[in-house]
Amino acid sequence: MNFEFSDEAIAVRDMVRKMLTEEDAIGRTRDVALTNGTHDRKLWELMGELGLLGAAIPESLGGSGMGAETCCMIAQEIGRACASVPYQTSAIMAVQALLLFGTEEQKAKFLPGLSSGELVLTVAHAEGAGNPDRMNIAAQVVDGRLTGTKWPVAEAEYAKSAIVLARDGDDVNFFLADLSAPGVERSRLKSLDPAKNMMRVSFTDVRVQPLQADPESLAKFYDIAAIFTAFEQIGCAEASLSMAIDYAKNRYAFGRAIGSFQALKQKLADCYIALELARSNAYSATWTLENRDGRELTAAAAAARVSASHAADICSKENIQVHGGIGVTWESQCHFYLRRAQMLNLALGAPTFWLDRLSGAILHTDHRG
Amino acid sequence: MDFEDTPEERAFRKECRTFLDVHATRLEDVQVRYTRAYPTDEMIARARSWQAVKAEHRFAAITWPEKWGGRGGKPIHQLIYRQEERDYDVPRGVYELTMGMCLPTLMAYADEATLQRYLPAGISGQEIWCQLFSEPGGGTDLAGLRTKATRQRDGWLIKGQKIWTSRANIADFGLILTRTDPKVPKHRGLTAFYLDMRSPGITIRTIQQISGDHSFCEVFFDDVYVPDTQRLGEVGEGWRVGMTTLMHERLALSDIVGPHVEDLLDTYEELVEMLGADQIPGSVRNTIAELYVRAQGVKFTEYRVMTSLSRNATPGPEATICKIVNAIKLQEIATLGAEMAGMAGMISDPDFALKSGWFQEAFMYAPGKRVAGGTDEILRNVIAERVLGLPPEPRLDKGIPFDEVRTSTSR
Repeated sequence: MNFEFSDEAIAVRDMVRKMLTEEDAIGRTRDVALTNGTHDRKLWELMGELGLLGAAIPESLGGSGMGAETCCMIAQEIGRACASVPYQTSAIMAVQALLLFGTEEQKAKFLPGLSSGELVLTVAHAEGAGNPDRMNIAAQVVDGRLTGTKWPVAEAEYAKSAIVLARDGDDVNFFLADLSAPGVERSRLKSLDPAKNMMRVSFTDVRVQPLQADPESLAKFYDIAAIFTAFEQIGCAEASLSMAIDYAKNRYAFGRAIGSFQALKQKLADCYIALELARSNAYSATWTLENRDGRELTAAAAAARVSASHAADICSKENIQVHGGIGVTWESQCHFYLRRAQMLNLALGAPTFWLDRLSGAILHTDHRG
Repeated sequence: MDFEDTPEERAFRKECRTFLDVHATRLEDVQVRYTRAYPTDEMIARARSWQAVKAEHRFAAITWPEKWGGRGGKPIHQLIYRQEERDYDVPRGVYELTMGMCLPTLMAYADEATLQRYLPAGISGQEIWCQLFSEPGGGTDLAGLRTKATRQRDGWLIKGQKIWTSRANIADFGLILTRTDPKVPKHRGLTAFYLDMRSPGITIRTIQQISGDHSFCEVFFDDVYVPDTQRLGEVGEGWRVGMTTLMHERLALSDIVGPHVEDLLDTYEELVEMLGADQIPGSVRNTIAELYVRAQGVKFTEYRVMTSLSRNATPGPEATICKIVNAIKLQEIATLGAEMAGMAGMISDPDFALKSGWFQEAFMYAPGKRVAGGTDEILRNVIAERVLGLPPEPRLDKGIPFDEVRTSTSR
C-alpha cells in the first residue's frame, strides 16, 4: 500500500509550480480581469507545448499519456496559481466527455488538438438554475439539428466547439456543435470570476454530431470531472491558506505578530485540517477512479468534491479575514482566490447537491424513492 | 498511489486473518457486539488473556524489534493488522497506553537489562503500565507540574499528586514526570522516572466520570522512594522524555473506540425498515453524508501518515489532525445516532435503545475524548505552531524560575 502520489506526478507538480511562478500566472489573471480578456493565451500555449494539457489522454490518442495522477497534480497547481486557463473546462471536462462517449472518429479528430492546446472545447450542460443530472433539459435535437439555450457556458467566447447536453427523443445525450456555425449566438455574461469567461449560447437549428452518452454513464462523467476538479479546488485552498499564514507571520499589532494570537491560530488550524481532509478524500477518489466503479466511485467522487469545496470555501474566506481591510481591496490577491473557489464550487453543481448525491450513494434507501 | 496490498502485504494480511479466525470471534457472529468503551473487571481479564495470545503469535507489537517479541514490521503492517482486527470482537482499551506509549518510551531511554526485565512482561500482558503526567495544576500546561522529586542517598523521594491517570488502579508500573529543580524555568527543571505502583506511600483513588466510567485516577505520592537507576534520561531532561511519550500518544489515541459512520448507516436502514423512509427527516441523510466525508478524510489521512512513516521519520505533528477530528466526529456521531431515534433517543437502556444504547453511551464519554491527550484547542495550537509555523503566544512564564511563576493560588 502506498497513499502518496507517484514520483513522476510529484516531479511534474514541482515543474508546473515553478513554471507558473516564473510566468507570474496570478499577475496575468489580474490582467485578464482588468482588460476584460477571456484567458491567459500565452500560458495556455506554453502548457500545450509542455504536454500538460494532454496528461489524461493516452499517447495512442494523441495525448502525452502522463496519467490521472499527473493530471490531478497539474489541476492542483493551476488552482494554486489561480491561473486563467480553461483547464477545468477543456482539458478535464471536454477531454473526459470525449474519452467516455466519443466515437473513434471524434476522438481522432479532437483529442490531438485538445492535447496541444490549439483546440479549446467547452461543455454546455447548464440551462440556467439547476445541478447536473437533475436538470430539466429543454435543448433538443431533431433530425441532427440542435435548438435551445445554454448558460452559463464556460470559455464559449473563444472555444472552437461545444459538447452540448440535449434531449434526443426521450433520452439525453451529448452533441458536438461548432460554435462558429450558422444559428449559434453567443453573448458574454458577467462572471463572478472575471478571469473565467462565461457565456450564454443559443442554438437555432444548428447541425450537430451525437456522442454516445446514456444516463448511467453520464453520472460517471460527472464523478470523474468532480475528482479532477477537486484538485484545482485544493490548490486554491492551499494557496489561500499559505497567503494567510504569511500575512499572519509578518503583520504586527499590539507589539506582536498577529499569528501569535490564538484566535487566528485556531482558525488557521481549522483551515489546515479541512485542507488535509480534502487532500485525503481526493487521493482516495483518484485511486477509486482507476480501480472501482458504480456506487463506490460516486461515493468517493462526491466525498472528494464536498471535502474540497469546503476547504476552498473556508480557506479563501478566512484568508480575507486574516488580511483584514487590505483583504477586501482590489489590489490584494485574496479576492481572486475567493472568486475562483466559489466558481469551482459551483462549476459542476453546488456542494449541497453533491452532499445529496453522496447520501444517495451511501444510504441504500433513497429518500426520493 | 496504490491502495492494494503488495504481495508481501497480502501475505501478511492473510496471516493476520488466519490468526484472528483461530483465536477471536467475528463481530457478526457475536450476539451483543456493542461492548462498553470502558472495561469492567471481566473485560480486563479478557484483555489480559487476549494480549498474551497476541504476544504468543507476535501480533502484540508488530513494529517492535524481533528480540523484544515484535516482528520488526513497518507501520503499514501495524495498520493492516488493525484493519483486520476491526472485524473481530476483541477487548480494547486496556493495553494501549502500555504498548503504545510507556514501553516505547522505556525503549528510547532505558538500558538493556531494564528492557529485559520489563518488555517481555508488558508485551505478554502480565504487567500494565500507566502514565503519570497530568496534575491538578498542570494538565494542559504540562510543564507546570509540581510533584517534587528530592535527592535521597542513591535515589529520590517523590511527593505530590497526579490526576487523570488512566488505569492507575490496575497498573503495575508507571511513568512519572517530576520537578527536580524549581529554581530554573519550568521546562528545564523536570526529570522522568518509572516506578512500581505498589511502592509504599502511593495512594490511588478512582474518579467517577460522567460516562459512568471510573478508569481515571488520582494518585497521591507521600515520600515515595525511587532508586536513581529508575531515572529515564538525564536530570532536568524530563521534558524531552515526556515529549517522546506524547508523540507516541498521538498515534495511539487517534483510533478512538466508539460508534462509526457505518453504524449510522446501519441505524438509518434499520429505521427505514421500522418507520418508513418518509418518517426520517431529510436533513438526517445529509448530516450522515457530512460525517462520512470527515470519516473518510481522517481515515485516509491516517494512511498517509503511515505511508510517510514507512518511508522515514517519527510521527510528525500532522498526526494531530486525526486526534482532533476523531474526537469531535465521535461526539457528533453519538449525538446524531441518538437523535435519529427521535424521542426514544432519550433512553440509554440497552434493552430498548437502538444499538443497545451505544450512541447514548458514547454521547457521555465523547466529551472526555475531546479533552484527553490534549484538548482540541491545545492541539490546534500545536498544528498552528509546529506545522504552519506561526509564532508562539508570548508567555508570562518564559525564562522565569518555576517558583516565581504566578499560579491560581499565588496571584
